[in-house]
Amino acid sequence: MDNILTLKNIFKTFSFDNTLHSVLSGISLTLQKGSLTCILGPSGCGKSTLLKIACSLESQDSGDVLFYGKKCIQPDSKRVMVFQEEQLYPWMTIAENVGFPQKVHGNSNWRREAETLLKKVQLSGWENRYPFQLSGGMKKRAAIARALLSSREILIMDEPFSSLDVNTRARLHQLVIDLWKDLGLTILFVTHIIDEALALGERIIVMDNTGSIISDLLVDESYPRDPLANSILTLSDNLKTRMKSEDP
Amino acid sequence: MKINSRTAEFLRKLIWIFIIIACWELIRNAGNISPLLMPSVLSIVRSLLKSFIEGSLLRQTLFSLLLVGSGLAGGAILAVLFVFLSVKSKFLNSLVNLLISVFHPLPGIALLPIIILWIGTGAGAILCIIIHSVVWPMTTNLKTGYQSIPQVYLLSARNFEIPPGSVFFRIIIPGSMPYMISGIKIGWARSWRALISAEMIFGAAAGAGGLGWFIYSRRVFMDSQGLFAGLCIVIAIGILVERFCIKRLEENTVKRWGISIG
Repeated sequence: MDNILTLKNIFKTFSFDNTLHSVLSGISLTLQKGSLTCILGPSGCGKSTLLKIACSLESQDSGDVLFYGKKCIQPDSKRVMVFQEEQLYPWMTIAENVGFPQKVHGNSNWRREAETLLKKVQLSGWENRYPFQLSGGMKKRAAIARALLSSREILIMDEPFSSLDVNTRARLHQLVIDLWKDLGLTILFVTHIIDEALALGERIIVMDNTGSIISDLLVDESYPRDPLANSILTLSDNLKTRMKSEDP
Repeated sequence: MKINSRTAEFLRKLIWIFIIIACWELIRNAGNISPLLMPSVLSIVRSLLKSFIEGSLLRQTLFSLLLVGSGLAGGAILAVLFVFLSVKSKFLNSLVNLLISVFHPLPGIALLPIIILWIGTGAGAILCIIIHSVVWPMTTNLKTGYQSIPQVYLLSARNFEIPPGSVFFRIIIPGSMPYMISGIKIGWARSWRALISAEMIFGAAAGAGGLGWFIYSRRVFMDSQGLFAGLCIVIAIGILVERFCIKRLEENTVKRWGISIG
């Protein structure tokens, strides 16, 4: 399989109160085309920074980001991120939000394409509503549709469902899996919730508080996964032990 | 019969207007006060209608509205330009901040002597004072609005490679709308006051003059009814602009989008 995204020896430090704090300490990872990878780690371990660097929305101190083997410096709409925060523009309807990037880039079919994608994320009939009229889960679906309209290559998701309740989150996990399978997407999904990583990831990469990768494991289970299956429970215990041992 | 809260509020206000009118007439008659100081409400209404029928009040009102509209538009365009420059460069941002701190506290009317020296006493001078009254509060509010836009909106725009012009007009401007509306409210109130004051001072130098000159000239001719009629028009326009223009703008933007405006 092709390597779609490669992060090579990424280092990043931030300066707080005139002191340098290391956030990422030499992260290297390669994503294969069509894979669904979860990055799991405690809050503040640099997961979001890593994703921003992967999209070139943040610059690294050293190291390289390669997309299909080509070095990337500027952000581009092929590596689109779904953020943790509310990212839909309140002054645009849902269809306008989804189609906005395409409209700005001169695609005259933006509305039709937006409506097709909204149907795919089960938001038909909500095209002309404003974001405040939608529930948290529906807003996330619309944000995913907007990302997909720009790029069918890779979806980079930064704890997108962390603010949602358990049931909504489970429904959205199924949507992510369906989209991944139907569209042949590559997904890089960041979370701090072990169960979420186990529900989604074919591969789970564990990061610690020093901004390093401490574990990289494959989850050989079919979807939808039963959270009470023995193999999942064993993996869950294994991940809990690893993450606990990294607590300061 | 059930009436909604808006109608009830309107009726309450109407009752208060009748009470105030009744008190006015009561004080006027009981105190035997000269009609020059307190003309009867009926004579004020008659004077108002007469001035409108003759066309002078309507002409002067329209002239004032044209001036204040042009001043507001000019001030708003300048404010958008200042914010655009502030966003583009830190160096220019310092200049805009400096201009705001120097000119924002300066009342427009205090600039009158200099404006008369530089421009004269025509409509252009009044326009300058209105623009000065509008541009600084509007720039301050727009800048605050820009700073309050969630970073994720701009980050997302960068991610989608949205060109800077579209970011400014499609994200920054609507994202700043709650603050922009506050700026328009302040700008409108300041410009309307500045206009009436400036017209009173400049007189009819600019054509037939405006509403300010109408009021001032009534005082000169001891036409108290006309003076109060002019004041009524100033108040009525203030209320109409607030209720029908600014409120409608709010309803079609921030309220429609579900954004809280504090």
